[in-house]
Amino acid sequence: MDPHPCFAYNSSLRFTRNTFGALALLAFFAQSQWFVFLLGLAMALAAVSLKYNLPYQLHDRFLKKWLRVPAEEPVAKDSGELSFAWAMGASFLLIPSLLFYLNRWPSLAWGLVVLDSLLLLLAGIAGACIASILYASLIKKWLIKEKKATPPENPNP
Amino acid sequence: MSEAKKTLSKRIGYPDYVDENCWLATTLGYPPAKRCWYCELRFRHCPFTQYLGVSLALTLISFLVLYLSRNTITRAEVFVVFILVLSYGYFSTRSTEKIIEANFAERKTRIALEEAKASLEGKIGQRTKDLQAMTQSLEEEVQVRTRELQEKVEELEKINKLAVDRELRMVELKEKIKELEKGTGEDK
Repeated sequence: MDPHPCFAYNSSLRFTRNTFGALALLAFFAQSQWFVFLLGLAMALAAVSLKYNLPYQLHDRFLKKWLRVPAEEPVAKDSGELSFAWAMGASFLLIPSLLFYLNRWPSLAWGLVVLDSLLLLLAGIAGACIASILYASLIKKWLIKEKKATPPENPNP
Repeated sequence: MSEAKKTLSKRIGYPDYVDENCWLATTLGYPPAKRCWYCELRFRHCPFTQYLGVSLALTLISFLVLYLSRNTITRAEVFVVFILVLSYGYFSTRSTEKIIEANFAERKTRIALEEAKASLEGKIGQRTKDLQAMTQSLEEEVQVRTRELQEKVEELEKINKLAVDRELRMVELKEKIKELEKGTGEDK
């Protein structure tokens, strides 16, 4: 599987991470299980494509002008990496939602919500995403190994 | 592998630059963040990754300690830990990124100055060689012209000497004619 390049603005990505992180923290402080679930759905939608990433689109289309963000060029990113990161974030919210629904281990569930918020805010501030590191170390290395293991087709049989 | 690495890394300071020393950048095939455009560090030496690891570890340890000591973590404690970790991270990240960009700008300026100096030295060397060549050719021309002039002078001196000798000889002959004419007149 070859990586699918896409172009994204660093400032908008950072804004998205900070927004989702802050909202997850807010959900924890409000102890709102529905808010956790809705946030999980929004992040799952963001994992599908940047087009469905609501905070990203909001920042890119409207807030940049309002906040007078300096003009920047979009940078090439692997869409697989972005999808993996958002999917991981969504799972840290949807799994607690499931635990809330099943009324099992609420402390663990809230712990996952807090952890998700922390990881998102750290990624937004430091620009270093744990999910990207995991994606690079696990998925990409596995893909590279697979590519090496599968010999190329012989054009002259 | 080295060919692939060469094609991956472009010029430092640009969005397509990939730090060959960083496994994350080389695995992803692009710089993970904007500051990585200017970076030549190994992944484990990256200050931001270190901040991430240390912050995560300290936060989890503090939550664990709080939970083990009182079997609960209050929202206020979560809020305080978050504020401490994130505000420290925000200011240190911002200042570190500014330092990285300033260092790179200074390095770029220094490289540009060195290139300008090298090109000026090259131009000066070339002009010096051109001037030396011109001087040599002018000196040769001067020597040739001097030789020509000297030959012309010698020729003119020869002609002058011949002319003077001729005149003197003519004067001698005139005096002789006068003497002979005198001698002939007395005889009569």
